[in-house]
Parts: sequence; C-alpha cells; structure tokens
Amino acid sequence: MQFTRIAINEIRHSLRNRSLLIACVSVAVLLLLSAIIAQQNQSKLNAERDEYQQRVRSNWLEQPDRHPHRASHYGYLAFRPKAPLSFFDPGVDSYAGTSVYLEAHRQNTANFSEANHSGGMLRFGELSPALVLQLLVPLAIFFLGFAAITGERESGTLPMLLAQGVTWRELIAGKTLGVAAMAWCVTAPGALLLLVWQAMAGNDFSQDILWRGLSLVASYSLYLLICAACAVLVSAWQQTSRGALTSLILLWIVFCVVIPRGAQTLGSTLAPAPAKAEFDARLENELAKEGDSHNPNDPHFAALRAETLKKYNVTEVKDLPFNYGAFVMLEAEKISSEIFRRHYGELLATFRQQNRVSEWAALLNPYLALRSLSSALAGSNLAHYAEFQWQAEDFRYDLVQKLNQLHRDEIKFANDRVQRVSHERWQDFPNFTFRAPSAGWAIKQQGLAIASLLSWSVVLLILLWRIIPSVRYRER
Amino acid sequence: MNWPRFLQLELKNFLAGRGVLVGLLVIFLAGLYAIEHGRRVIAAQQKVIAATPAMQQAHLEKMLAQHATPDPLNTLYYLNFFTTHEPSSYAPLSVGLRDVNPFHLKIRILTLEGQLYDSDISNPATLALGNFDLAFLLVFLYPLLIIAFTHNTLSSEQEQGIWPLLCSQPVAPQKILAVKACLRFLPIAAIWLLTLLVAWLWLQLPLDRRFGFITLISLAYLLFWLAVSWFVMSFQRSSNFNALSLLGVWLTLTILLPAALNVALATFLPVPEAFAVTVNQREGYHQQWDRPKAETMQRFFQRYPEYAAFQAPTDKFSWGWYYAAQHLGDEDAAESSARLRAKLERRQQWMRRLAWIVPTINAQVAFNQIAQTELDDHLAYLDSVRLFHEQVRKHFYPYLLCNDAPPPVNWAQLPRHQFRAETSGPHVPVSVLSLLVLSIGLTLWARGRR
Repeated sequence: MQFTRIAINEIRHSLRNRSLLIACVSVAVLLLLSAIIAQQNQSKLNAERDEYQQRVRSNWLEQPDRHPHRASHYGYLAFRPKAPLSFFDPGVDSYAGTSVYLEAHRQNTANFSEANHSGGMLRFGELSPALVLQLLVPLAIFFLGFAAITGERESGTLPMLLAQGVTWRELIAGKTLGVAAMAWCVTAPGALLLLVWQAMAGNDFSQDILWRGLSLVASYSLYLLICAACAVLVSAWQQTSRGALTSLILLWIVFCVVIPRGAQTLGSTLAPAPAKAEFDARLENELAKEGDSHNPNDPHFAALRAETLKKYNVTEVKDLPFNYGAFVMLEAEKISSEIFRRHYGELLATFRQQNRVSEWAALLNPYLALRSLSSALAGSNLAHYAEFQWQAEDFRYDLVQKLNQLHRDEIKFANDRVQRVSHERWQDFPNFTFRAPSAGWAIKQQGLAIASLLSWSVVLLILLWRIIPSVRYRER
Repeated sequence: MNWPRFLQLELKNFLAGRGVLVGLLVIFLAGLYAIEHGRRVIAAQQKVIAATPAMQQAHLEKMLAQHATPDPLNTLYYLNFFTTHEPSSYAPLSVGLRDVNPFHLKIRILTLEGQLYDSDISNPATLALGNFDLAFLLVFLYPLLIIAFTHNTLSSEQEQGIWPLLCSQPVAPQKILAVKACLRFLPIAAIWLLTLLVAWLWLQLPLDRRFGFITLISLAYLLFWLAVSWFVMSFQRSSNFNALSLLGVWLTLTILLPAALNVALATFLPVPEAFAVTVNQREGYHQQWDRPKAETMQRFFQRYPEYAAFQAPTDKFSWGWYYAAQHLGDEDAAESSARLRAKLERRQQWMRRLAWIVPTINAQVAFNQIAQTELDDHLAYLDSVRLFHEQVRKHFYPYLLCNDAPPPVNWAQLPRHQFRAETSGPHVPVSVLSLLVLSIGLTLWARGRR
C-alpha cells in the first residue's frame, strides 16, 4: 500500500528531527501536571463543601424544640459539589455560585463563586487537561503537519513522487494518516498516564463517569483528527511551508482566541439579561399581583379565607380544625415558588439564548463545538449548574412545605407563637445531596456541537479526498 | 548612508508586504469592537444605577402602603436600602471584575453578613469567556502582531541574501537592524495610540493622569514584546525558528503561566472562610430565639451601650429585641468575616507579586487598577455598604430601642448610600516598572550575545 508507506515516512521524518518526541513529552508533562494541580484543587474544594454540608446538617439536627416556622426561617444551606470530572475541564465552575441559603418565602442567589474571590488574574483562564488538549495539542499538530505537502513541494520531491506513480489521492491519504498518527502519538502517552494516575488514586468510578469519560475520549479524538486534517489540507493548498504555517497559526488565533470571546460577547449583547434589581422587582410585582400573603388586604387571600370558612362552615378562622396561619403560608409558598420558577426559567432561557451565538458559531468553529461538548461531559457547564439550582429550589420547597404542614397540623391557632414541636422531628428531614444528572442527559443537549464535529470531519474528508486531488491535478 | 531615504524605502517596503496592512486594519477594527463592547457592558450597569433612586422611592412607597399600619415600624422589616457601585469613567477600557462581582446590592437592617455576598445574576458562560475589551486586546492580541511583524527582521535579510550586503555598509549592521525592527514596531504602536485616541473621544474620558498612565503602561507592555522579539532574533536563526519560539513565549505568558498560577493560588490559598461567615451569622442570629431575651440585649448593649436604657419585653416579641438579635449574627460572624477579608487581601498580594515577573498579569492588573475594576475596588465598595448598614441601623435604633411610644418616622429623610470611589489619580502599581526593566534586560542580554 503506497499510502501507508507515505504515512510511515512522515512519522519517521518527524522522529528524525525529534519534533515528535519533544511534542509528545511536553504534552504528557503538561497533561499530567495540569491534571494533578486541578485535581488537588478539586478535592480541596469538595472537602470544604462537604465539611460545611455536614456541619449544616448537624446544626439542623441539634436544633432545640422550635416552632416549625422558626425552623423554616432558620432554613438550610446547600453546597454545590464539583463534578468528579470537572478537574479535567472546569467549564463555568469557577464562575458559578457554590452555596445557597434556603429559607421560607424567598429564593436566594447561589453565592461565593471562585471568581468572587479572585483578582483580575482569573480572567486568563485555568490550567486543566482540557485547556492543554483544546488549545495546545492542535498547535502541536499544526507544527508537526504544516510541511506535510509543502515540504515535498519545496524540496522538489513532489514531482518525483507523482512520477513514481503515487497518485495525489494516495499522497493525501498517506499524509493525513501520518499526521493523524502523530496527533495520536502526541496525545496518547499523556492520556494513558492520566488514566493510570486516576486508577492509582483509587477513585471508584461509577458507570456514568465511565460513559462520560469514554465520550470525552471519542470527542477529543475526533477533534484532534479534524486538526490533523486541517493541517494537511492547508499544507496541500499553500505553495510554501511558511505560508502554510502562517495560515494555520492565524486559523488557530481566530478560532481559539478571537471568535470564542467575540461570539459570547455578541450573544450577551443580543439577548441582554436583566440586572438583579430588575429581576427582583419583576418578581415582587408579580407576587403582588398573584397574591401576597404578607399583605393583609390581598384579594387572593381574602377569597381563600372566605372559601375556607364556608367549606368548614365556621365564621372565624380560629374555629377551623387546623392552623389557618400555616394554611395560608402553604398556599403563599406555592404561589411564590411557582412565580420564581417561571421567572428563573425565563432567565435561564435568556442565558441559553446568549450562548446560542456560540453554539451556532460552533458549526463553523470546531474548537467551540468541542469546548461545549467537553464541559457538558465533564459536568461543569451551564446546564449542570442550572440543575443544581433547580434541585436546591426543590429541596427548599419541600423543606418549607413540610414544615408548614407540621405547623398546620400540630400548632394550635391560638397562641401560635409560643408553641413548639419536639426536636425529634428534625430527623424527619433529609440532608441536601446533589444528584448528578446522567451522561445521556448531558449529551442530549449537545446536538449542535456533535453535529459540528461530525460535519467538520466529513467536509474535511471530502475536501481532502475529492477536491484537493482534482484541483491540484489540473494545476500540474 | 542616506538615513531619511533608507527609512522611507524601508517603511514603504514593509507596509507593502503581504498581510501587513490587513493585519493593522484588523487590529484597529478589533479595537473599535473592544471599545464598544466595554462601553456597552458599563453603560448597562450605569443604566441600572441611574434608575436606582427612582426604584428606591417606588419601593419605599409600596412598602409603606402595605405595611405601615398599624405599626409604621413594621415597614422596616420589608424595606430594602439600595446601594450601588458606580464605575469609574475608565472602566470601559478594562471591565476587569465588574461583571463578576455585583455592582448593586440591596440590604435590609437584618444581619449584614448574610446579605453582603449576594451575587448578581449573570450568565456564568459569559463570565467564563471574559470580556473583549481593550485590555484583552492589548494583553493578548497586540503581542501576536508584534511577533508577526518583527520576527523575521534579521532572518528575512539572511534568507534573501541581503544581509552580507548590509554588513558591507559603513554603518554597524546592528544599528540598521535595530532601526528596521523599530520601523516595523512603529505602525503597531501608532495604531494602538490611535485606538486609545478613539476611545478617549468615543467614551469622553476625562483627560487626566490616568490617560497618561494607560498610554505609558501599554507602550511599556508593547516595548516588552519588541524586546522579546529582539532577544529571539539575536540567536540568528531562521524565520521559522523565531516565529515558533516567539509563539511559545506568547503561549506561556498569556495562557499557560497565568492559568497555572491561577489554579495554584486557588489551591494554596483556599477560602473556606466564606462558608464560615455564612454559617456563623446564621447560627449567631437564630440561636437568639432560643435564649432569654435579656441575654441577647445584654450582649447587644455591650456593643451599643448608648441604648442600654431600653427594656425589651421578656414575654412578647418586640422589634427592638429582634434587630438586636439580628445584629448579634454579625457579631458572631465578625471574626470569620475579618479572616475572609484578610484571605482575599492575601490573594491580591500574591497576584501583585506575580505581576512583577509575569508581564501579561502585570499589564492586566495595572489596567484594572487604573480603571478601578479590581477585587480591591469591590472590597472597598463592600466596606462602604458596611458603613451604610450601620448608618441606617443607627438611624432607626432610637425608634426601635425606646421604651415609650416612638416619635413618628420621617420617611422622606432616610440615609442614602453614597459610594463614588473614582479618583483621577488611582493607585498605580509600582510593578509596571518591571515591564521596562525586563525590556531593557532582554535588550542588553541580546547585545551581549552578539
């Protein structure tokens, strides 16, 4: 087979000038180093959050006898654990809140993102294996592959090769295979070391993490193949190696540095999100419209009162068979939670709309596609963060309503405030634990990114297989 | 040698090179986009800030309408006091952390430590990618242009065989080379200055020391990259070698090193104090409900003896006791809050130390500091909110902590938060000098190599 010989020659060439070895070693070192630092950071943060989650738990259990509504103002705290694979790709993790105070009547923001505690340096990014694989390895591939065809052209061996009966198609296939193999050589040792190190660290992987990991391997393989094909394509297109290298570097700068920031800033301009003050004001207004239990003249609750009195055939709320105050709070919490959910859902929709420019740009930019896919698989993208917030709100709602029920059923209406329920009841309430969504859930939302990576591979292959050979034939 | 003629020809020759004018045009247009983006981000914040007084008034009226009867002081529980962190006029040049940290906070006279760290609602994906502002353009993209333009100053002469010819001239070839490199650098510096000029006109920046500092620091930063290029040139290797090494330096200084230092800093200086503050203030306040009221009041009077005459009813609820209990939440969190503050300052300190040796961090931090968009500026804002919170509390304590019927509250005259940190002469970090030191050092080293 001609093209395998070409591929082997290509690899042999870069072995001879040691560039392959240098790239391989530096990538392996960087991958391992970044993984170790990032994992250290992750386990430290998770230990912190876990410790405080436990402390909140024991504080909850150690409450003395209290009035249920007292307990629901005391509330709970939910801490967001870092996803097991977020050391690989931190995604938006450092910019997302880590703890949220859950109490009656109101939904608080998730506070204390890592970014809130950092100086301007944070804006340079964080070192992680994903950063190495997404940004640096493509550059390494470009350096290894830019001269694949132009090199032959410049040294005058190209006409010789073609005269020997090697077809353009075989030449391109061989070179692509060669550069792709080099991409593999550059990445595989580092990736293997990473796996061995993970295995030795004794972390037990759930099946879900395994799926996520495998999908990451597949996505990154595809991405690096695209990079290799790009290098050969540009090399075939350009006349000189210098021109090929310049084009590839320019491509890298535009795709990996300029477009990502540009697209996201454009997106946030096109779909502006409300400021906190506006968001709160909207919530407040809607609440006043739908029914504000803290407002004694509210029509909704006046109607509820009349209806309830009629239903139980009494004239005063104190004669009802349950605690009417708690009954009102149950209703009010339901209303306010619904309103919050609707508005928060709208806000998240705005965020998604802001991200949409990047998502569509990903069709033209495989780096953006991989970026999105990778953080989704690592469990560190916006969707995972939103999931935490929904789970925290669910937990808050259940906690408060359960306390309201306790209040309704076990606290008498008369002299409501001085009564207590026994501290033994606090054990009936669960601790907050974040249930990580499944790999399938994460992948399902990445249709555009997956389509982008696949179509890039197909288009590049067509270009390499069909267009370049015919164009270059004619040229001769 | 006919210098004017040489310079003229050389410049003409260079500008006629492939892609040079396009490169300059593209970076200029990117500059316009960056200015406009910075303007928009800050303008959106200013819009909210400008609407705040009206919002405060409307909120006050609504709360009074709903809660002022029977006891007007009931309103206080629901009443938010709005505070804002106004941007400096230079903030659009370097948005810094103004999008990460909230620029407006509303507070009630409840435990402050439970309200002070409320985050803004923002898209973490946007935050993670960062702003496309002038500081980004300068720190990340301008060096690339310098590398592209200057890396082959010497090698292209050698590769084209002109170098021996130049060496035969009566002028020292190094001098010619230096002039050529500067000539290639000048259009870039000119475009940058033009961009700054446009920013000045477009954003109507006040022309004070800050503009001078921004100009000087950015030029020093650009010069540093010229020096790096000059240093690599002194190896007298091929254009490819130069381009690759310079790209490696760029990659290390703009991506690898800061990114690694970031994670390292986060790992070695973690901030568990933040959680401690939240937990402590919550426990500190809520446990007052399980205690005798006199105990709570006694602790409160230790801090505020001027209200010790107040006698809280022991058998029923009173607002005086309630706000005293709320304040004890802050007292209990004070220690962890101070530790949190100290930790953040330590992180800032380390960042500034690192700035001395990493020019990219240096330039970015200097820009943030002049634009007053650093973490320090946010912390100063939080301090002002602390003071304001105390001011409001002290305004109302005489109404809340009195044994007789309180006098009527004049709701038209409430304390207002004022925080305008903008100074025309903000603190400029000394570390910017290291940009010059590094540039000179590299140039001298390069000379020694020849």
